[in-house]
Amino acid sequence: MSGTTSILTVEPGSSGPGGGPPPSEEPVTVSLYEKWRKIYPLWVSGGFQTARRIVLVILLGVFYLGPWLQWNGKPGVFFDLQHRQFTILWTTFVPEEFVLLAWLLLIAALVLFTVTVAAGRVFCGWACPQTVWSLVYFTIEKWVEGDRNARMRLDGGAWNARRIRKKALKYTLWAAVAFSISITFVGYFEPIRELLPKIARFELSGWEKFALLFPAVGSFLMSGVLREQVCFHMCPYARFQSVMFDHDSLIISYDEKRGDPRGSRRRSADPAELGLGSCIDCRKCVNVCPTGIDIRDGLQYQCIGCAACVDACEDVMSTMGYGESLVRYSSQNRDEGTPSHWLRPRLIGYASLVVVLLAAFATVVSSRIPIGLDIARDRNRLYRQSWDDSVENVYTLRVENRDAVEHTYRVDFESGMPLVYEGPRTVHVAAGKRASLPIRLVLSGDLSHQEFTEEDVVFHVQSEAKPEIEIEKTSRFHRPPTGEAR
Amino acid sequence: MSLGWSAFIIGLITLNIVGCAWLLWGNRNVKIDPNAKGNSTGHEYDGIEELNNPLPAWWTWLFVMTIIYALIYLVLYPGFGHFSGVLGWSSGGQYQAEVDDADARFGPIFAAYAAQPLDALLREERALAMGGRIFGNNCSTCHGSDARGGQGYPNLSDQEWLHGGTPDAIKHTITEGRNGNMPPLAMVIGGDAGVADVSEYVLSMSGREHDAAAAARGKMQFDMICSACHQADGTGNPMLGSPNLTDNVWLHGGRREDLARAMNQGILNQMPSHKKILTPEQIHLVAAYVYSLSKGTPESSP
Repeated sequence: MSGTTSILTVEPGSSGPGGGPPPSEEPVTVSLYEKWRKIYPLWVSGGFQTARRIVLVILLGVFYLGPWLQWNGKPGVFFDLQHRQFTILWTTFVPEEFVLLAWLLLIAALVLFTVTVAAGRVFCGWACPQTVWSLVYFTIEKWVEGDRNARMRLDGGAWNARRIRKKALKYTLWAAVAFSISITFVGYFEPIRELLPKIARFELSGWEKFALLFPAVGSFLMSGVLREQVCFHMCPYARFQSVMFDHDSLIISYDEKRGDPRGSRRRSADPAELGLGSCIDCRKCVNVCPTGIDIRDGLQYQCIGCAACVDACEDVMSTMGYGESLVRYSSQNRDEGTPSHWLRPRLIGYASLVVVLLAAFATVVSSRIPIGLDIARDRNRLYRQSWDDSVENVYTLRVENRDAVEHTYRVDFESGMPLVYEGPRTVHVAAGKRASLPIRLVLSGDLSHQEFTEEDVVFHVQSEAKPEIEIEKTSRFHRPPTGEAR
Repeated sequence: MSLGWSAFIIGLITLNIVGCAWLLWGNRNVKIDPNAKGNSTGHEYDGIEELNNPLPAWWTWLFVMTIIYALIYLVLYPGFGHFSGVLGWSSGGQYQAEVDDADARFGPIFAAYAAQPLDALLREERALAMGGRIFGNNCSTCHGSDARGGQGYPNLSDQEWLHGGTPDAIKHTITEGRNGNMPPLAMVIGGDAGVADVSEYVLSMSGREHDAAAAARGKMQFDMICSACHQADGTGNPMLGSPNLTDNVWLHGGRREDLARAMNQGILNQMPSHKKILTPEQIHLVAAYVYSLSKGTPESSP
């Protein structure tokens, strides 16, 4: 499945990647499966790249240090799948509160939309795990194999000892990074202080082996080998982010007015005399691009907004003394000369929504009461009637202690009917555990034929030590229709 | 699986895998006109043109790998018609392996408790908790989650036992089941009038409010007919399963109309046998739990 030429037809003379086939009259047979051309980004430094690396260190720091956090002697961030409890610092979430996770994801999505409306694909280039990890792998690659030209020479040359040595070293370091990722990731689901000794002694269950291997292989392939192919072909965000842009979103674009017509010239020459713009066609912006595009062709879906081309042109422009970088954060309106307002209703709307939802979320999370109550009525028989016409209903109260300490709870009830409570009044539950309490409510025989308007029963469970921990649930008291024989 | 269905599945699988492979292979080259602008398929929707750009080779190789995986899978596991796979895996086999695994893990726990008599188990909290869970899963639908029964379902937490309340009797009840059978003897005791009289006498036996004159007449019928099963003093016979009529516990209802119905229509009640539902060790534990209920009410169960 190797192709002779790329199926991408390009205009003759343009600077597309790899160039196009020479114009001919006859139809050509080309491969439908495009062989992947490896991209060799040139290393670049500058204001934006420094800022990106700081963000990278912060994000990686949070990821790597997370599993090591301790809170009250227990792991601070622990997603205990086995016991279905997610602990984040001082609070523990139980499956009944799953809707909070859904809300959190919704808020995260809205944050993403807000950021995209504001600053384009800044998430892709600055915060996306794929980009962050690819940068780590790329840094290792550059350190082992050298910068762009050295790497191209290495790959273009023969398979000698030097090449094997370099590749082996690079892949070994990559594997180390990959496993550091998977071990840290698993460390969120199994306390990392217990996990590491297990790995050292190789006492791992089948699932643990899989959980450690799969993300490592995935990371190695996606961030090490595939890189930009993930952004091009796998990531859905790349494709739909364009619908979130408008003409005021910040995008990275080439200043055509200043730059064109392009052409090389001597440093001392005056470009105006030569009829040239500021762009010297050095192609540095193309060479530093990790996705291999030419930003001078305009905004493309492949651009991840990493601002490498911005820093590259900044360098060249200051060397040539032409002023600012030709490639910079701008917006479509600004480029076209139409009035541009960055702080606009759409952005303010999105941002306000995020703030409001975040505040609501924080309020709900902080006001959770660490107790759960379920009332399971006996359902096979709605009621139990005795020879003296007294009626009983049987309930099983399941009390869940969601606090971090044990509690003794007291059970009360309220009803519009003169019911008598039979059964234990208190229950002791250990931290994080549940207890079942079978109780009965009895309506005595002489009252059982009376009409009552309210058939609801409200059960009230309250902690004796901390009265603010309490919960109420409503159930019903069933009895045979009044006046009818059973 | 019949031969016809097997052939159908084999045909479908072969068609699909060969078809996919042919699709990949057959389309690896395409003729294009290099002068044409773009690679439009000719489809245009709202100004958005559908181009025909090449698929990445790595994507194609992944597809090839899935085909290879499918072939290996079909050799090792069942899927190719009635061929059962080289590894001989079956879902029944996997289930049996899990059952054996569970038996190996839990068997010793059950066995340890099975070796102890029910009286000893009354002091074992974990045994009672396990028994309580078995009760909750199997018995509480009829006997209630508090085991106090209902009409037709005995109260297991009181001291009254139709068929005996010793540990052995309880275990026998659960294992083999019980049949409650009272024949309708209304005609024999004198029809409606006789039934009414005997009802008053029976009510008097458990100290309930009754008509003394009718009760005296009823006593004569009771001594002749009913005492055969219920004994002369009405205390019942665990051998037969005939209830104690003096304890004011009415399994089938204690109103006059309920007593009349028992004599007119008889009673057929059944406790199903559990020997095919529960293992002997499980029956041992749930019997201990039931036994414990009549020895004192547990506060709360897990």
